[in-house]
Amino acid sequence: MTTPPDLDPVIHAQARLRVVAALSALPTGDHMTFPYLQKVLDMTAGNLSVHLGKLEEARYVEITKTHQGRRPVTYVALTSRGRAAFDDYTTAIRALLDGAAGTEQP
Amino acid sequence: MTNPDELTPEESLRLIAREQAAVAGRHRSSIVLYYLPWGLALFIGFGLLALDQGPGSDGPWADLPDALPLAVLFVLMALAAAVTVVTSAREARRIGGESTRRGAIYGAGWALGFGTIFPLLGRFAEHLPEDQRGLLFGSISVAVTGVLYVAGAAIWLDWSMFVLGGWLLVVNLVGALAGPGWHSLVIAVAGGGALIVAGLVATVTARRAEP
Repeated sequence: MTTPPDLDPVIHAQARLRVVAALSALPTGDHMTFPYLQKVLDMTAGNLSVHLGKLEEARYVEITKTHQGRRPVTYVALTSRGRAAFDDYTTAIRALLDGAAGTEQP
Repeated sequence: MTNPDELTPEESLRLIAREQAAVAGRHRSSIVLYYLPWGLALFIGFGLLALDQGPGSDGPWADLPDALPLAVLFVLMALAAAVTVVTSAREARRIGGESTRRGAIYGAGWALGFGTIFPLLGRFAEHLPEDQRGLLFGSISVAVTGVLYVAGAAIWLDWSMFVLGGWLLVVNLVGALAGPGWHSLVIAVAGGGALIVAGLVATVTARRAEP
């Protein structure tokens, strides 16, 4: 099975879908720290960085490096563009499932 | 084409549900740490006060050392406050942004509220008999707590928090109208009990949300 043309290839890959789904659970205006996202997804820092890089390239996530006291912190959040892309993706997936269910029935 | 990374629509939806539930579940599992310590402090602290005051009888229900009930109540409340501070600091290491700023301002509101209301009550308490003095501090503290929970419900759009705050306000009024010993008993059972139940309900829903 190949990727259907209407599914966003940036999101339609296991690791990146998991990243975007986890970030989508936060209310707009909130961001997750990098170590917490890593813990939730159980990914290595290197692996997560690579996928975040691709999502950042598509401007789906915003990565902010700042300081909390003296400690450096990295925050990750979905951009409004990323949230819209995720909503479109879930809508497309649901439509595919509904279509498949429709064709199976005589 | 076989790609191990290729997802079927069913797998996609399952992954989305799992990761969203994992984040929501971790958040809900901290809620118990906000409610349970305060529930236990009220239940044990006001429970000892009720035993000492013996509502409905001429003397105490149990013979306790004079300073014990209030000392236990204050120590347990200090511990509960410490757990609240540590829990919110831990949450801030996970999630930042608007929620954290709301929480920080809300926490400052609690500190400012109790920090100014207690001296105010002290100003009037000196003119009251001892049992009424205890009722004044007890009933106003619970009323302020109830109002702050209701305000919290408006901040986080959380109806369960509104119900909890509203419940505390109503049972507090009922207890205060019934009199000093009764107020302690009502706050221990209906107030502390409600906070303990709220904490346990949050734990159960968090477990259910875990994948």
